[in-house]
Amino acid sequence: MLRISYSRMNHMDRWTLCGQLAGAWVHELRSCWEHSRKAPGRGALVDLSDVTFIDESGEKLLSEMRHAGVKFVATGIETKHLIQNLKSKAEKTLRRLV
Amino acid sequence: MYSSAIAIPETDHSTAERYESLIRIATSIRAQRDPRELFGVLVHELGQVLQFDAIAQFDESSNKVAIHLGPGCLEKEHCPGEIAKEETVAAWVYEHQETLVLGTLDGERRFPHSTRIMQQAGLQSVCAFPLTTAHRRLGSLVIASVHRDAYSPEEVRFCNLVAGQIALAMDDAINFRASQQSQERLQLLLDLTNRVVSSLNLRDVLNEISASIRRVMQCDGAAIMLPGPEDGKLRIYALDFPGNPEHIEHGSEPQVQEKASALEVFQRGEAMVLTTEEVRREALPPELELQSLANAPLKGRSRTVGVLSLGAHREDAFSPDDLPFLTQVARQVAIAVENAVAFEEVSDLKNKLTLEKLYLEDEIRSELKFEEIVGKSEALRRVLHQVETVAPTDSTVLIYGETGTGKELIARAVHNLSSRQSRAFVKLNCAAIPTGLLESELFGHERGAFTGAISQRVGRFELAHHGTMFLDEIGEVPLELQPKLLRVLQEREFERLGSTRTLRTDARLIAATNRDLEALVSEQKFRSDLYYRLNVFPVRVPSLRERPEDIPLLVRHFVQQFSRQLSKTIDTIPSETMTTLVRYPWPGNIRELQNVIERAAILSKGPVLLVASDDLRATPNSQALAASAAADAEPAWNGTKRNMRSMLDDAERQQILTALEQADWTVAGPNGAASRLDMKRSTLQSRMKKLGIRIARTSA
Repeated sequence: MLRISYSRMNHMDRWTLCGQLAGAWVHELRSCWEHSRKAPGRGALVDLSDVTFIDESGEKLLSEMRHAGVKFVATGIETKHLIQNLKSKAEKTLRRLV
Repeated sequence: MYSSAIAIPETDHSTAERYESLIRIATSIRAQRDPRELFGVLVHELGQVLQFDAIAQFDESSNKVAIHLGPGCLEKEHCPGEIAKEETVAAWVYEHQETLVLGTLDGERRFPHSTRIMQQAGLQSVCAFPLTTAHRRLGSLVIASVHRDAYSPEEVRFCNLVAGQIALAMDDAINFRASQQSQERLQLLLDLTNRVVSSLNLRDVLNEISASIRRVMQCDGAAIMLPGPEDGKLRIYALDFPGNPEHIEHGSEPQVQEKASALEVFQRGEAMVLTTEEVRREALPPELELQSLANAPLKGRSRTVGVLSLGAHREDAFSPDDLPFLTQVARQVAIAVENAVAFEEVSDLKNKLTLEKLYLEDEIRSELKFEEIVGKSEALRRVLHQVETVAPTDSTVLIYGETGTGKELIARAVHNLSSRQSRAFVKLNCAAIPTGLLESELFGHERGAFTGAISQRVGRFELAHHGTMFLDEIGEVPLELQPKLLRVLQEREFERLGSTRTLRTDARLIAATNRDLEALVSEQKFRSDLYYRLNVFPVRVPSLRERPEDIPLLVRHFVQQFSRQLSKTIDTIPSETMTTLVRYPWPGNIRELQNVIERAAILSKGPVLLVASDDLRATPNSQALAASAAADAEPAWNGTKRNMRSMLDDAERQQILTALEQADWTVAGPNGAASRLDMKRSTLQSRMKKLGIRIARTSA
């Protein structure tokens, strides 16, 4: 399960995620993000501190978000490693939720 | 015929004509089926054979005297159409069952009520007859003339014959009416029974049957009251009153008032008809304008489940004679109520079970603490590719692998990627169950099947019907149980212990083992037919030693999990620690790695992961364990991997051919096979080339 919280700061939208960024919830986050992208000139920050697992599709979405200029906050050693390697050209890790 | 209009000559010829007319009239009156309309017919028909200026009829069923004054009468406009029977000639004749002839009304004092009306109308003489058959008294008939001594003995004799015919006609009409009513009531009971058995929606049934009851019972409204599920207070669930369009919404059923008769009927369980005065005391909504009310308890198998209430606008619409039928109707309604209540209970329990199942499944997953697959090694990619290939099929899967490699996780992955994912995933560790109980666990037992079988038990194969059955440690199934297992796999049927009834199951089997099944077969500890049946699609889960490149990923994954659980912040893993972890042989595989990381997370005081050196010392013992684990699993794998590639190729070929067939042999495009297989066109073409699949083109 994933809980998505949204708040608006001065010039930035903040997304706080809690749970598993995997499966159907990736699509949910993508919908929210694409909806907010329609407002131009605003930055976005995604807080991944409470994310317990990110699957391959979640990783792909985060990669797209980074490419679009989204900033991330991460605390866990695994999530930090994943965020640091989003731009890496190396073969991506298999990450599946069973 | 009114005497003032036409005079009938008293000749033999006219007498014959009168009797002929009498027969015609009798036939005409008998054709009249409604006793209430009979008087109108009499006024019209009797004028053809009798001389009178006024006519009156006393009807025993209504207890009223109907009057009709002809054109020869005076002050017709002041005459009431209907009067009470008291102090009337008609009532006297009915009570005495005698014909009464009055040549003049002068000095007549016995019937002041009717004498006054007749004198006002200018009537002078009267002739009255009882309307009686051999079986019952029906009323009386009175004719009167404006002339004195208008009725001779001959005329009176003829009138008696006419009265006899009228009585027979009335009797016929009443019998016909009773028979018709009885038929309608039986039809109503049949309708009720049909509705009761055809629908389990209580509100629909109640609304439909209340309308039927109202029609057949000839009343103006019907209501069904049931105790509320929360407070047990009697509430109106269905109300059928024409002109009262108020629809009772679910959850807003009006409560029955405290002193209402329905409440008394519900408590005492006895039907009752209310008098007009009692109806007035009911404090019913005035817009309903009810004058009569009858209530019957809805008696179920063991208790009163509600009340059926009927209302009418006219007074005395119900009599105690109606109660037996009303009770029968109420019994049918009670069955409907009990069925619906039972259905709702079953439905609620089913929903509750579904929710409990979801909760328990979630709890099992969270208890495992191991529901993610993480890695980047080629060995892991190969396994997942195999899983994706075999999952959509219903084939039996045999998972090999050392202890702690995640065989159950792979089995769950197969289940979750199959069409059975919404159904149960039932697992059983064959090594964890005592041999003597394994059969009972797998196939279930009947009560009394063995000493200690105190109740019936459903086996795992029954639970896994339409789902997946995962048998871990399949190599531990005793030889004597293997034929029964083989039968389930082949025939999909089995019997519970202590039962002769054959049950069928559509469970997909996934088995797992860390033993060398082929060696067990050669040692005759495992049946070869069962082995070949299980070994349809073998999947080998690699040990951690075979995928050291996955170890850093798994370490980071577990460190993050345990830091969160222990509310610690560990964000550094020293490179020498990671090197040691990667080099360690991991005889216990991922389970051992998980435990080591958990211990390390507990022991670490700061942000750096501290792994105890004792945990990772590659002792001869651990190396021997690793070698032993490898030796256990490898021969089995070696025995099967010769065929592995070709099996995988076959499965892949089959999937591609199916997709091509569904796509009408089109590779590209939105409906093409590549799109259906969720792969690029070029990738599919490459695979097809590799597997020797070619699309034959024929010219039209």
